[in-house]
Amino acid sequence: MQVEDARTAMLIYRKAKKAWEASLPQHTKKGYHDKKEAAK
Amino acid sequence: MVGVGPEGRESVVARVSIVNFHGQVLLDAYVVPKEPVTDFRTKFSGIRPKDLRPENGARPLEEVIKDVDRIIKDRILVGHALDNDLQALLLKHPRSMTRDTAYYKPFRALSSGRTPSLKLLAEQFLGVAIQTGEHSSVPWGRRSDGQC
Repeated sequence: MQVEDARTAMLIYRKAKKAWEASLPQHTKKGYHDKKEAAK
Repeated sequence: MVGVGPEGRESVVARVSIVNFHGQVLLDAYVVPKEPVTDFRTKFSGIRPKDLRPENGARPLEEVIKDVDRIIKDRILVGHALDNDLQALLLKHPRSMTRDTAYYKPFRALSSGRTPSLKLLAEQFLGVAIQTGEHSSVPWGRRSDGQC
């Protein structure tokens, strides 16, 4: 992957990031495992 | 990637580039091919024979793989059709830590469920034409490294 392609993919991700992250399964979200451990 | 073997159909890694969330270059390395390159695919790859010579700074694949592994470890990896790149580098990355623009469902809808090309996504989402063989037209606010 060239720099231009890497940057393009990153820009596309940044544009869609909010909706993308929200669509991910719970276990992939940041802090999920920490919260689960704390709840034990 | 460049082509090796008969008619250059088989692909091998020739250049590895990694940028961070802000578009700054973390790694941009040419790789010394282990077998004769039969198709440099210059029109698409931008790679010329001189780029892959050790005397011009091209590095052994093993060395580049180590760098990539160190950079992406425990980080969210963003890219397009990353399976191909990771396979070529003999690396694995957790799926939960991967954001692949080729497999995100709303993006695939643009190609009637098929894998959209990065070129198509760039046109649709960024309004720019890439991979035209001309100067990069990707808009980016931070160009401190001068590579954009």
